[in-house]
Amino acid sequence: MEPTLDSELLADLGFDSLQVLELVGELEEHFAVAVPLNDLSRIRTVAQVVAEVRALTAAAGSPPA
Amino acid sequence: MIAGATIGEALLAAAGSARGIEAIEHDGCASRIPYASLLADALGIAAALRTRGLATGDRVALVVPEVGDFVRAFFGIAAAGLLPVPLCPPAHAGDLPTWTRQSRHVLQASRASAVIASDGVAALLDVAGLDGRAILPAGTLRTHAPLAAPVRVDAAAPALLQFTSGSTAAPKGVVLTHASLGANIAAIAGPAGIAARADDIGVSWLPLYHDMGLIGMLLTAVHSRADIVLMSPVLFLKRPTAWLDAISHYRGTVSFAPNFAYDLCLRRVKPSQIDALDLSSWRVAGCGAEPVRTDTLRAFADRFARAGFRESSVMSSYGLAEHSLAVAFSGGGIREDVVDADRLVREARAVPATGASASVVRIAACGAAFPGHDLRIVDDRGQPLPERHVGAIAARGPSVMQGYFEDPIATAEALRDGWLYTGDLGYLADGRLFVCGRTKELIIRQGRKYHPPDLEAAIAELPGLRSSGILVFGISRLPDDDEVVALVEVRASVPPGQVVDQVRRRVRETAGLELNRVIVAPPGTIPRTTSGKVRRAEARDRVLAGTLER
Repeated sequence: MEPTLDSELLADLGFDSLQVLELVGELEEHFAVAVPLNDLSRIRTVAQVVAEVRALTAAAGSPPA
Repeated sequence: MIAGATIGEALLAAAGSARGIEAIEHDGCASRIPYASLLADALGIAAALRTRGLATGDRVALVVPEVGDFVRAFFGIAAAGLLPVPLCPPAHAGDLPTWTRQSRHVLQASRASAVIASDGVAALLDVAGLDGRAILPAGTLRTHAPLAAPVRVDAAAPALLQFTSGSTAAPKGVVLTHASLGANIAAIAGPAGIAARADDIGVSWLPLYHDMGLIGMLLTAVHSRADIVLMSPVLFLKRPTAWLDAISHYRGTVSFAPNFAYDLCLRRVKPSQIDALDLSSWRVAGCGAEPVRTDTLRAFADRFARAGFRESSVMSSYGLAEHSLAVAFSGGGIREDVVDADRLVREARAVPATGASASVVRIAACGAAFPGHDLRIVDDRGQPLPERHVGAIAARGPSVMQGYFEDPIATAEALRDGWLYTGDLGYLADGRLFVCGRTKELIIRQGRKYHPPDLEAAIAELPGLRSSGILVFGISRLPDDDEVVALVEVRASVPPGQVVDQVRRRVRETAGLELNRVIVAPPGTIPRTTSGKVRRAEARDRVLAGTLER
């Protein structure tokens, strides 16, 4: 299926819980942010991933290059 | 190491040394907790728990993803003479509904009086059904008047309530006494185990709610009064290289992990990162908690040799929570048995492969029984089998659990005539144990028995398939005739029809078995436990209910 913002990582895109953390690791490295532990269980959809990264980069005060 | 020491006594002894814990959290922040400070914190937490009216033997659940807070709370519960019940935190669960269901089950089954939880976890726990239990905040649980010493408990009293991860059934609470924990730790630390030294430096990213991380790494280090680096599993899963970096940086000597962790390092650690590593201090590279695949370990040893990794450091292990943790270790490098696949599947005999063998199976050696412990292989009626005959693995000795918590029926099923029936299948050769699979998963087809792991290993040899994404199971229609289903995870780019044909042919040629169904599904379809073990029973139920395929 074609991924959309509403796609769920686990249910729609074939991620397993390991791959979700792999994605988080890549995002942390790319955007130089740290995802708080308590946010991990809330990241379910593509839109939530985007919102998380936006919020963290905004909080860091430096939008990604 | 003090034989027969309780958890509290072991901490007391360790606090007299200069050693301790280096806690590395999920964001990479590290802090040192000397055992002396850990004891002081534990006594403060113990007093806080006691003033809340908790009494010796009460269960206290523990849901704390932070490494430092978990360790303090765990020893605080133990120092108060209470029983820790470690739970998996939500961050590792992947999906919240599964975590909520499992947490509710464990809280109810353990009849825990209180729950120690991190701030972020407390709100989620509420959903899991606390039924009026108090939630105590992990970070701030202190008192002005700490206990003077750990509450004295009898070595024969329960020390830990460890819930099994339930890859074949609903999690059951394993009751371990201080004596059985101590016996297993002595075996692990002893000459038939890792031969622990006071100057050892353990390194572990393993979850502390799971037996291998908690008992095998943390408690073994405390009993041995050795340093240990404890890393958040979240950090490892985000950046697998963090594990190897820690071994390199802290000059780690002992580190255990499941097979998948070695696999993950092969896939995700880049050549430039390998160049920066020095793994020459790593003298025991343990592998266990899931089937050991010698091809993975051999590839790891080859790839990381240039970082100073030695193949002779590899130690394969077998164990289960019902035996405290470890049953047998095989050290000194990769040891395997190469047997005829056809005869293993058809005759349940492990016959060394010859030039005439059409296909072979490689099975990792897991070593002999520990001193003071026994191992044997038995048939369906409990009669011992000769060497190289595959049967049920049974174990006996001081490490065996007291039983399942308040579950006499399950206990009577597991403990029979003084033996623990592990539920795993294997064989002995020259007194060494080789593990093949689980008895409960046996497939019977027209009276003939097949072990799913053998069939899965055969399918895994097909190009483009991942061994972790293959599941074979039987659905009973008649007492001696299962419908045999293979579930294969493949990426969308692979034509499913082609995979189905290849899988059918492969199983037909190696096992002489005609599969009833081959289901091709995207990665992530196979249901797993929070620690990543495949839930066969659930997969079977969902195929029957038609809810697995989308």
